[in-house]
Amino acid sequence: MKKLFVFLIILVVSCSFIFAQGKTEVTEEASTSSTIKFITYGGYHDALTAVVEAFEKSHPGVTVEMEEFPFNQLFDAIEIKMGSKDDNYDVILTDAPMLTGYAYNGFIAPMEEYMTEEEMNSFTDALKDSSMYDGKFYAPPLKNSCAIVWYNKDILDKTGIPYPSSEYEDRMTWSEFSDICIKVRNANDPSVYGFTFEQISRPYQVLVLPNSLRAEGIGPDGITVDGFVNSPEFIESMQWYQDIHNKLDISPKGVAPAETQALFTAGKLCFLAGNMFDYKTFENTPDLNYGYMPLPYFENGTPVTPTDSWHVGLSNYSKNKELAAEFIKYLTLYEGNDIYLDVQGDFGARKDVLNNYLVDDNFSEFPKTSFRLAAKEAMNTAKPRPLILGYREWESIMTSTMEDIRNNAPVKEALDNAVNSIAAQLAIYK
Amino acid sequence: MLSKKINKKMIEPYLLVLPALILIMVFKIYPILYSVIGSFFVKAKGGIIKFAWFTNYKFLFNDPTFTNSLWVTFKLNIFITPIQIILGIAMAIYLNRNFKSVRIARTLIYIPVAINMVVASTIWNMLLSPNQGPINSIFAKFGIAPQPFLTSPNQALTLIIIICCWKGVAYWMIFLLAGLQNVSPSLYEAGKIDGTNYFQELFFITIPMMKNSLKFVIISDTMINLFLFVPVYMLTGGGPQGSTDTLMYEAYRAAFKFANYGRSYSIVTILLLITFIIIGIQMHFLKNED
Repeated sequence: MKKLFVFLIILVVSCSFIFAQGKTEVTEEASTSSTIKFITYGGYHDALTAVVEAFEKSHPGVTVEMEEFPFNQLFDAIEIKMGSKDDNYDVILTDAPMLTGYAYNGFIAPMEEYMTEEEMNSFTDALKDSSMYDGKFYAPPLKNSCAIVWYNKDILDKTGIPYPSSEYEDRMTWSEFSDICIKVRNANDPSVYGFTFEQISRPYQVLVLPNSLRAEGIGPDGITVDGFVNSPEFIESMQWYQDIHNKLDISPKGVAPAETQALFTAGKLCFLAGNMFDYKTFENTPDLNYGYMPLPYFENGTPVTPTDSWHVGLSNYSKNKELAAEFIKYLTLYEGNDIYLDVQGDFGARKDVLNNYLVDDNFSEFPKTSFRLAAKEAMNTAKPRPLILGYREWESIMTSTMEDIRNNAPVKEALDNAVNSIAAQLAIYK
Repeated sequence: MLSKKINKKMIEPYLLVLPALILIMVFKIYPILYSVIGSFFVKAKGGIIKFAWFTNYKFLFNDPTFTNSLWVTFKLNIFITPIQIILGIAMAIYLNRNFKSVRIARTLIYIPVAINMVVASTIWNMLLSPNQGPINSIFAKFGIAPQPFLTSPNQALTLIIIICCWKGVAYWMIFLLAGLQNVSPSLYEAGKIDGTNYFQELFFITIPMMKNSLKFVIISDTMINLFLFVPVYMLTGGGPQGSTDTLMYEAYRAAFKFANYGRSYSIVTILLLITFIIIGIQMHFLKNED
């Protein structure tokens, strides 16, 4: 009796596991609902609300419901909802490097059926590539991104240093730049630091350092890290990253990425390598006297700037694919995208928008001139993060490693450990 | 009539136990079995689930991150559980006496238990901030160099241990105090007549008479500490350099950060096995003797 009872329990659990996980076929029911459910990032609330309102107006009877998450929770939420094949969601907004994994796992459907070749070619080549997996176009980009260095003019005045040039051609080396930061540190109150990356220890921004020395974060097969993450050039660049936080003491420790902008606006930081759209926060900060310059590069290397986008994906489990695809196109290509860029003050992913920055008078005055520098960077120096299946594993381990290096862990040892950990995690993709 | 009575009498206990049994089955037994079975499956292209025997376990034992987190989990338990129990006994003995402000002392000591672990971790995180934290400011007043605290691989684990002890000691102390209050005063009086000193009283009367409470506390505390997650998640994220990366945090990362559920189920299954073994050993050594 006891044995039969145990057997029955195991049988029930096994069946429920297999049925819960193995529900791979998606029922293609006729679209009966006129509601689109959109999993999105809460940081774009106002702009996306404006797009949704305009879409609903131009599509009578259609409702778009947004389910918003903070940045740190968004990807976990998508993994859980899409991992459980939840068919209540139609559209997801996500960061570029996640797309490969989402497409591999069957979370999102290709958009080729719903978009023309011309529409797919509207985006910059780098961002179009970021939208592809296995030769298919999956999720169009909503926007673009680029890093520039913002500086506090008052701190530079106090230090007696002239304002750096904002011209694309007048780019400093990291060595020249750290010399200025040391002067800033010495001439000001100890609570005033020279420089920090806005996204401290996150590969999105910090990876430009090894990239500038022509080192890659992963091999061309998307799995091999040995010889890449621990290459001499990678080590050299990470040594500089460690030095600015320790030996040179120009960058603060114990500060989280969410706190860096506040440090800059509070006048406690002279240089901030941030996103070009940070100007919106700075414009709303009273008495902040600021300027911008291009991101420096290593003298024996090449200028590199980070790029990537947020992409809009069509849920593979949506029962409303036609309508959802219509909304995705509206948001990324047409009127919806113009509304988004206008309200959010964001940087465009479409080629026509980028070309417009260089000639449009709306971008001829500070701080909007930064769009012109960013457009040049986007077309010449921009490099996206690795497009690999195991990006989340790679990013998580690299972020911890960069943070350890920032906290003075031996650089080579930390990178060798990262190689072992990443190799073990990515083995499942072989 | 008689058979009806017998039937009712036979069924009644089962009916009384049934609600608890259903809850245990749904919230304890089912997830455990689900994890164990899930650990033998891997996710392939298109999200398709495939039976893969011990593949997940093979990957785990070739992964230095896993072996490190196994070691960190053991290290945490080697320190936290004995510290909490020894301090819990000491505090229970102290608070079992009758002195004027005993109720106030009991309340003050119990306060950390009443604070939610997430809130407590956030407060500790602010206190221990290397740049702006008040603890480093106090150190500076005494000429002590600023400490890296949670950003140092040499200090982070110790601080997690201290925070867990601060939070947990009073909780276990309450059970020990209850056990202590059940010890008959006549035993101490008999001991005094035999001329026992304080330590003989402690080791030959107090602790043996608290054995049942102590057994419960040791087993429950071990289980809770083996599954330690919140302070690691809130304070260090398993770092720096993996120095606080526990098995539970690794299981969380695998499931919710990497969507690698097979890996997560395997870690949880291994953790369950370890828990069963440790609890089995503890029960063997703590079994009641006549």
